[in-house]
Amino acid sequence: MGYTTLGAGPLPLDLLLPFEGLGLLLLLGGLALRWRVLTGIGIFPLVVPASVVLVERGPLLLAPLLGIVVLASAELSFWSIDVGAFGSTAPGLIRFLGLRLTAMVVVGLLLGMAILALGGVGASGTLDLTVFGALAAAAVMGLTVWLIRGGL
Amino acid sequence: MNARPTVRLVSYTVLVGGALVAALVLGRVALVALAAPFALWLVLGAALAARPRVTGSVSAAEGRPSEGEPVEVEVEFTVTSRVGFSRVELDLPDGLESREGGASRNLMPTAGSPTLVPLRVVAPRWGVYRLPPARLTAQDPLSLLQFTAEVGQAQRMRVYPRWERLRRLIPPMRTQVYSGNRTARQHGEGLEFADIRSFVPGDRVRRINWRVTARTGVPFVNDFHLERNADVILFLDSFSELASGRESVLNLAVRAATALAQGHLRERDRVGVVGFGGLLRWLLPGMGQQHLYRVVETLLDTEVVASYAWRQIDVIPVRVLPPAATVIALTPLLDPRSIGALVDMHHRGFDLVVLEISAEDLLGPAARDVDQVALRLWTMLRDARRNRLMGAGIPISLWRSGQPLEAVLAQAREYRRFAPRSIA
Repeated sequence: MGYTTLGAGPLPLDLLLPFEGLGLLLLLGGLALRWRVLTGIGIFPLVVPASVVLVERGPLLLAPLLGIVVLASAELSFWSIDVGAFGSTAPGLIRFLGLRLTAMVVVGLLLGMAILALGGVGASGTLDLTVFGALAAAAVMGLTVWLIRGGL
Repeated sequence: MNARPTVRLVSYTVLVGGALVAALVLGRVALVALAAPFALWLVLGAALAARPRVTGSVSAAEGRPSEGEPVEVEVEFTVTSRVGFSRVELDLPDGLESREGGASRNLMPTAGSPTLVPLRVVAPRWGVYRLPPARLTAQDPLSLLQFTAEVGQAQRMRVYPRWERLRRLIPPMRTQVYSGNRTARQHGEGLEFADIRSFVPGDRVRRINWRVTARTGVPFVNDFHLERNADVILFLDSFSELASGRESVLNLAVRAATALAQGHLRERDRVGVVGFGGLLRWLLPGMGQQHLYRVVETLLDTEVVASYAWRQIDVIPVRVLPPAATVIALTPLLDPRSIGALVDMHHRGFDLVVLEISAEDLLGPAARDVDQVALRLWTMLRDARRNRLMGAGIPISLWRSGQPLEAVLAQAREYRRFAPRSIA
């Protein structure tokens, strides 16, 4: 996020800065006011414009990286609200949250790279519908399992 | 436990759904790769989430905590399935505050094992507080669902007033028939020398005063004062209340009453309590350490209840105000009903001592000129009323803000030494 907002990367600053600035503001506002809703909303101004520009202009290999950066930012914000604001915290909890985030970031990055590789993404960025269909089906099955188990 | 989705679940689901739809519409696999970490989070979270059941209890530390003393409250609970981030907290009622460790704790309980969470609360003021059940908020391991439940039952927590230990008390004018530490007027077996009288059959030989006997040639014996106790009734005026910050008339009255009760019970006197106000409360006179806690618990229940009903002391049962009792009244002298009761008691021959808690000191400075004039007028009226009561023979000691109770009792003792005794 810092890489894109500071304009050091290949993505155009003038298109991204207002949206990413808004997303950053919402995340910081959520931290200050302890409103998780602001954090949940703030993810979208961070992800949507950057992903549009990324898809249009590339490089597409940054896509999973953008995903895990937004995920990590959101998780750290939620974490700060949950843990930092209220009462004292057991040390084991911090360790658990740290490990959880690290594992999901690493596995998420690998999964994203694997999707790009399986999708046959090169310079052209064309979509392999077979792979996409399989991934979408897996996601639907996973959510269905969760619903059946009474998650909601 | 009740379950509801977290903000994470909603926003990650919207993001993943939007990205997949956009990928399908635009034909871009990069969007799927971007949403992959979020989709992974959702799928794993769904697989690991399970609604747990919780059992537990809340208990406050045993003992008799005083005001300002931290009380450890233990919350013990067990969850039946794996959970992630959890928080235990107490929704403290008005009057209770959290200390040091706080009234909430973030933790990660182990499924199937009991978890013990110590929390600390403190009550700046004495009283009876309702300690609510603890609230447990738990999330599944990936924080997609939030479960809440109450742990334990609500319970009452009694916080006792802090009292100063009094070195000297107000000596009662009359004693009772029970053995005690006070020197009675009556003569008999005792330690304090009273008189010399002629020997009569039945007197002990060891009491013969040999010097007088030798001088007069007729046996004389020493007579001593009996050691007796007294009945002391603590009379609390709870018709009206004035407060300034954390201090109030009732706070001062209860603390003073507790100190006086402790002092008189230490002297083996019998102590009773009358709470004279909107709600009439009383405790029959008794003795001993256990009775001290009964007195304090009666005082804890004292509260100011607004009432327009006229009360006189004849509504108080006779056994609560025994004849020849010393009545120590703690009052701000604001309500005419309590003043009337004091005058009535004085006329009925009770040994009355009035400790007036200064209402002026609790009012604070007057803001406007007209308020200052009103305050001066009110103060003058109160002074005139106080002087009238003292002129009628009722001893009143004024207890100003910041003054120790010992000083006020010293004032009362001085007045009783020199005031004309109207009690036989």
